[in-house]
Amino acid sequence: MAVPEEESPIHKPPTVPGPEKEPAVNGAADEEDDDDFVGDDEEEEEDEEEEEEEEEEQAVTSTMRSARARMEGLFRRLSTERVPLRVHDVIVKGNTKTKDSVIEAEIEGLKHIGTVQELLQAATVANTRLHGLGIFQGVHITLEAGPHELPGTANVIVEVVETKSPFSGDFGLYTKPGVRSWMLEGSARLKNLFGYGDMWDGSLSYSWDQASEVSAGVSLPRFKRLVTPVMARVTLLSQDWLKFSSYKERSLGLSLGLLSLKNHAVEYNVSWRMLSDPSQMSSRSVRRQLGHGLLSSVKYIFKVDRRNSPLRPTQGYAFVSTSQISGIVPDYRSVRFFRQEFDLRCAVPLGFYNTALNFGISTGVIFPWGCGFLKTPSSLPERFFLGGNSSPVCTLGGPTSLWGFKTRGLGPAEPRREARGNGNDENSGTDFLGGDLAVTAFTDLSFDLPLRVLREAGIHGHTFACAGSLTKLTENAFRNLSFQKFHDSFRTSAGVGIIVPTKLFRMEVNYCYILKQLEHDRGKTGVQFSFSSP
Amino acid sequence: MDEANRVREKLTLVARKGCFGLPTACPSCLPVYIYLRLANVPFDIEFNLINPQADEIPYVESGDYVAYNNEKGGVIEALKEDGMVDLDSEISMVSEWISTKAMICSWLSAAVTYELWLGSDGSSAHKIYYSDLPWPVGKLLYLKQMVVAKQVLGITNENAERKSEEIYRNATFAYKALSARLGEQSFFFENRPTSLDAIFLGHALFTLQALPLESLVTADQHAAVNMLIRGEYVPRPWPCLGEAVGMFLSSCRLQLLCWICKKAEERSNHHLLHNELESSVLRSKLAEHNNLLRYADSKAHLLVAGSPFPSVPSSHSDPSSSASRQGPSNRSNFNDSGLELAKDRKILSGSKPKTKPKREKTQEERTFKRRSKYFLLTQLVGVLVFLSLLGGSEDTEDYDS
Repeated sequence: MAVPEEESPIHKPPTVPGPEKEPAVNGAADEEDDDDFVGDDEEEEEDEEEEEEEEEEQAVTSTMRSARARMEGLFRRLSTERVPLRVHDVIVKGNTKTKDSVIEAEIEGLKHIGTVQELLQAATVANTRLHGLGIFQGVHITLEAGPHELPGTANVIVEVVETKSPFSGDFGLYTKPGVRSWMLEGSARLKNLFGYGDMWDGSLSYSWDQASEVSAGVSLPRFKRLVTPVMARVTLLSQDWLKFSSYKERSLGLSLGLLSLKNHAVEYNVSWRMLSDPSQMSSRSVRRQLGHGLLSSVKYIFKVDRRNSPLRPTQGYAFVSTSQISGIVPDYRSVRFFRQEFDLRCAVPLGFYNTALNFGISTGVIFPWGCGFLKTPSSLPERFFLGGNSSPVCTLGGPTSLWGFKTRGLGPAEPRREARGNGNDENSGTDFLGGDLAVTAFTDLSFDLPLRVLREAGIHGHTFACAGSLTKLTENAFRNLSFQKFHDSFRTSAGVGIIVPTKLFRMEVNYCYILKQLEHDRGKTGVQFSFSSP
Repeated sequence: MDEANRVREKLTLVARKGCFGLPTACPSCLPVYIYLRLANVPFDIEFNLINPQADEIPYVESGDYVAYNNEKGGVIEALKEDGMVDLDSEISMVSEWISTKAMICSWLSAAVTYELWLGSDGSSAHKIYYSDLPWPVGKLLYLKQMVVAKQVLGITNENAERKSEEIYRNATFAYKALSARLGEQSFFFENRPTSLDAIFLGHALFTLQALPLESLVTADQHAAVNMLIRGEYVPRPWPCLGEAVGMFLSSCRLQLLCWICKKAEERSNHHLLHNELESSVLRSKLAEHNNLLRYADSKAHLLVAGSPFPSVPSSHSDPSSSASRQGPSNRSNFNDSGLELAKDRKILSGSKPKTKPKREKTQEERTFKRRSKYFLLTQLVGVLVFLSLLGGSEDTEDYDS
């Protein structure tokens, strides 16, 4: 998980310093004595009192001037030179439920500073990290002077306000790369149940194509000596691919997030998966894959995203590499494969009408390993499938999207079981089997629309072109693959459209023209809608 | 025309894995296999190792045509109805044929289900259905299937014993009826193979070879019996009774074990396992009918297909099979010398079409059996007399001292 950027400023000591509260930053404190005035006669006393008041006002004014001057001097010093300072003590207040160790782990950086500038920076980072735990309503970091006998030191006081209600809920519409259509998701969270910053959540999601998912998870910011958060999640997933590939998938899995940094993530997943075909119309290759399987895999994700916006990138680049190896348990009967994905996106501003050229390429390959791996087919749910309603500009989940083609609408296909009706043999369609090698590429030119209203709403236009290929490699099929055949396997499309970004999702209304498709592909020329979520 | 084309395309039978010397060890799949063999239809066999509880398996496919087991009354009925393979022409309307087939499909099928899932330790079921699944998955599915089997048979904790008796009673009646119907014929009806023969042969061969055995003799005792047979035994003296008495009792014990082994051997015509004292209940009931055993034995060559069995290494290269893995036990059960007995289990080899030597009770064996009984009885009487005499002499010595 990336460390969030600095957000809220830290609190500073009162501007009127006292002998004990004045920060030890400047190393000295001017002390001025109040003058005492005594009058004899009442008139003289009144005159004297008036004079005293005037003198008091002048003294306060001069005091304020001197304090302001000192502060200005302090800021000047801070901006021009490194002011040495050490932290004597860090005091944590306000945590009634949260363990001290959780807070101290996030503010560890405060103890190892040597200057005021480093202290201010470390305090900002600590403030952000404490907010990032999601269990505090407010965080206040205050600096005060250290003990008199230790000049050049300061005490840091961290005061947290814990959330009153540990329970929170969420509800919304989302899209995910692996799911065919929109998912309606509701989730509930329980924060800091045991005082370790633990975050418990449960979610229930349902999509229009009868795919459903029930999951529950826990996230720990600190687990023993691991410096990164650790997450565990149990998921019960049911997906219906009957219409496209004649099978339904149900899986019960446990995933562990072992490492989560800004650019790196490692997770382990073990799941029991069941493929079934209630319709009993599946093709031969799908029939061979129906049954139970145990998936035990480790996935490593490396991600760099330097784009200025995930919804409408106009500058920057992004690169994602996902490596997954399955079958790491000693049991040879588990599903064994190696899967690799690459995503590269680039956005180049053209300098007029907020126009930007986006281009990207995504590739993926899957191959089984173990005894007889050359003759073994790859696992059907783990293969690559192209097509759908998501935009490749915003999606960074491997080769999945291709404008103009329906979900799982291209690639290797096989005829389904022969259907008998009324004495005639009917064509019952084809099953899309996915591919072991997938490549997609696109270019997209986005531009602002002439109307100001549309520009202010963020609605813009784009024109695009894309190409994609899906090829089988397993069961010795790679021996028959040549460069010419690979080249001929590419499908292409182009089009124009309008993009409407909303708070929940990004919608595209496109007119797609299929330039090239092969037999059995489900590409369609015409108006299509595409949805993406950031 | 389409049906003719379909017939020309070679059939593929997708079944569960083979073991226990059977090309497919699943009681639902073996009858289909035998049916296709009886019909002399060339077919390939492939295994599904990952879907143990699917009721659509076995299924037969030919191009885009598929006949599932949970449609049209079963694979055999589907093949007949679709005009693929039909052995029951002109007999399928005979009432006796229908009732006999129904009896096999209900009573005997229930008995096999009971013994496979509830009446044994489950080792056979585990080997047939779950040995190719990862352990946690296989274990959970096995436990689930046990519950399903109870529900299918209508067995609860209260009526378990009664149901068991009913199942075995029905099986006994079925075997008697089938034995009477078969007599000394080659087939059950009209002296030609029908689907009824295939179903019964599948049941009989599975019962004889795949159901688990009960052994009352430990490995040590088995070794001691072998030594006794070879005349090499060294009886273990029992110190508490004196060396002579202990050696005498040891020899009696070993001779008793040998006699029991011989008796068990004579009871069945198909195995000479020295460590086998008691077979499964269903097997023992089947073994009471020699003509049924002869019938099954005579058709054992059907298990040797013209097309290679999957256990043969060359068949594993089939890339379309999702069952390319074979358990190592399958390879050890097949023997190129033909039908020979495995070391620990009765099998019917699949590599060469040789017939098994028949074992029948001869006059000599009956005589040996009778003499063994007399010998053991004499030994027992001698031991009792010796002990009584020994007990009396010790009392006398104590009295004198």
